[in-house]
Order: sequence, then structure tokens, then C-alpha cells
Amino acid sequence: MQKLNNHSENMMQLVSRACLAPSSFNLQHTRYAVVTQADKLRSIHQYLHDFYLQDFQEIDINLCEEGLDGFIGIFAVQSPWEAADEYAAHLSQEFQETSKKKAYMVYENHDQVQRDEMFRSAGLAIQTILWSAGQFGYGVHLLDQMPPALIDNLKSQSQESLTWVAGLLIDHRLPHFNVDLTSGPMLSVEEA
Amino acid sequence: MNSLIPERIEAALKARRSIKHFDKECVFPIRIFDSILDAASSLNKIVDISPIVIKVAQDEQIRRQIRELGFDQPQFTNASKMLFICFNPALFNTPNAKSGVLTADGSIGSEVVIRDIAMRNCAMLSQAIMVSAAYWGYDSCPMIGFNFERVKMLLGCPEDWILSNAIALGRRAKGPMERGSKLTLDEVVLK
Repeated sequence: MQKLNNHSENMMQLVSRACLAPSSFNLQHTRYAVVTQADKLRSIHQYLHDFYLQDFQEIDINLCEEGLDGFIGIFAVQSPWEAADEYAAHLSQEFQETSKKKAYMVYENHDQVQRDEMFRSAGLAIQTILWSAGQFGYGVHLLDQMPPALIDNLKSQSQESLTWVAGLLIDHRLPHFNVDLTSGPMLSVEEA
Repeated sequence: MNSLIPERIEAALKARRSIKHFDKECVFPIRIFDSILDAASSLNKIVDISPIVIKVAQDEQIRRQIRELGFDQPQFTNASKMLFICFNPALFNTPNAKSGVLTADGSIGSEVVIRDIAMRNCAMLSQAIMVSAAYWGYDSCPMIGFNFERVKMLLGCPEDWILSNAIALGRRAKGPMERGSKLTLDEVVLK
């Protein structure tokens, strides 16, 4: 188990691991808003408190009041598929050209396919964080929804067009992924 | 089933690569497949996995047909197992997404939110499966290059199901391409 005494460093390690996740044409759609400063975590708590008290989703507000270890906002960028060759720059010229041609076939004029891939790539990255968080001794609570003001705050400095995907509350007191595997329901599997 | 050893997860994350060429003779052990699904089921602690259905394409003829619908990619017929990760929206019970009262960025309707969440959660499950496979020494490949609607019909999926992606599982016959052209942390972490 890694040491928990440097949350800031650990959160960056989690992002670094997330970058190992696959993405279509290696386009790397996912962006990360990493928050570890105590005052910012407190303001996130305040947002969540105001937001969830009057809404639908349950969350352990007390956990936030005691202070989270970290928070990572997950965003996705619209697929940069037009530049697919640049994301294969370490491979042969022939491969780069093929990659670009295929990316045009898949994504050109297919807005839904582009959007689907943003969320798929982000999902792959999020799961990589879940796997790694356990090694660092953290559990993760995923939030589908966040107050729009908080989302704007997280992405305010970015020049890219970002789409919100999820918020990850990260704390050693939250349930860990990959433990007690017999406790949950089994996946539904069908043969075809 | 015991959980996977955390210290070995990092190696599995690095070992997981997208493999195109699989050993057609490899038989995937049932106990390993069950272990992989057990580990992936742990995702239920984070998101609701009850709408997710894994369709396992076993029939050789169906797999050949899928290969024809998938740019003749060899994984469809040569991988030991072909999984298709589906999402049944009728079993999705998050009230906010269903009602459309609140959306992720305040501008999108409820149907789109469900599809977004379906894609994200199915991908999370896919990475749970692929990393778990790598942990046990097996290879994988996430795949989206195929005709989704026609493959759904071949697999017998209801029309309203959302097919997110496929996963090929097995052992590599050829290694992966070199890893590279990665964005730096400065480029992916928002300031």
C-alpha cells in the first residue's frame, strides 16, 4: 500500500495511471481537474452540500465536512480525430496515413459517434483511476451530476471545449473498489 | 473470491495493451473468466451495473459474420472470447437522468444523458475486465470498429439496448504496437 501522506502527489499519480487507458486512435479525449488544496475542497463541499440537500442523489455529506483527501473532475474533449495521424507520430508514416483515413471514416459527420467516444474514453480512464486508487489506499465516490457553477469553476481556465463526465470524490474512508468481491450482484452474462 | 492484490494492479495496468492478433488455439479457462467477472462486478460499488448485459459471442458462424461487419478485423474470429457490452436502458433507475430535471451541463435532454452514462459505465466495466485479464496473464482488445446495429441484431439484442463496445480476450499471437504519442500531464490536467 502506498503512503497516504501526500494527497497532492498521489492524485497526480492517479492521473498519470489514467493516461495508460486506451482510447480510439489514441486520441486521449480525457481531461482532469485535480483539486487537493484544503480551501478548494471545502468550497466543493459547500457546493455539494447546497446542491444535494435539495436534490435527489444521496451522499455522505459528513465525509465532505471532515475534509476529502482529493477530488478529480473528469472532462472530455470533442474528438480531435482530424489529427489522428499526429497521435500515431511514433509509428510509421504509412500507419499514420491509414490511421487518419480510418478516423475520417469513423468520425466525419458522425456527431453521435464522436460524443459516444468521449464518454467511452473517459470511462476507461475513470476505471483506471479506480483500480489505482485502491493501491494508494483510497476509495472513490462517483458523482454523475455536479452544480453547473462548480463545473464552470473547474474548467474556467481551459482553452478547450470541455464536456462534463463525472466527479470523483477520493478519500481513504470511502468504499474501495476491488475488495470483498462476493458482496455485490453478479454481472448479467448471456451467450449468443 | 478474494480481491486482486493491489500491489500487482500497477503491473496489470501497464501490461494491458490492445492486441490485434490472438492465438486462435488458446482456450480461455472458465475459472479465470469467472475470476475476471467477479473482479469486474466490484464496479457495482461505484455505479449501478444492473443495466449492463455482457453478450458472449460463442457461435463460430456468428463470429464470422461479425468479422464481415467489422472491417475484417481478425480479433472477431481469433480471440478466445468475444464479449459485447450492452446497456438495457429499461433497467436504469437513476431518477435524475430519467426525468431530465437536471442534466450534466444544463443543456442536454434526458435521453442523451442516459446514453452518455451508458457509454461511460460500459467502458468502466470494459476496463475492469481488461485489467483483470491482464492481472491473470491474458490479453485483450477494446473494439468499436463494426456495424453496431447489425451486430446487435446478430446477437439478439432488443432494439432499445445500447451497444457500447466489444472486448476481445485471449492470448497474443503478436505483440502490440509501440506505446507513444502520449499527451503530457500538463496537457491533460486543467490549470
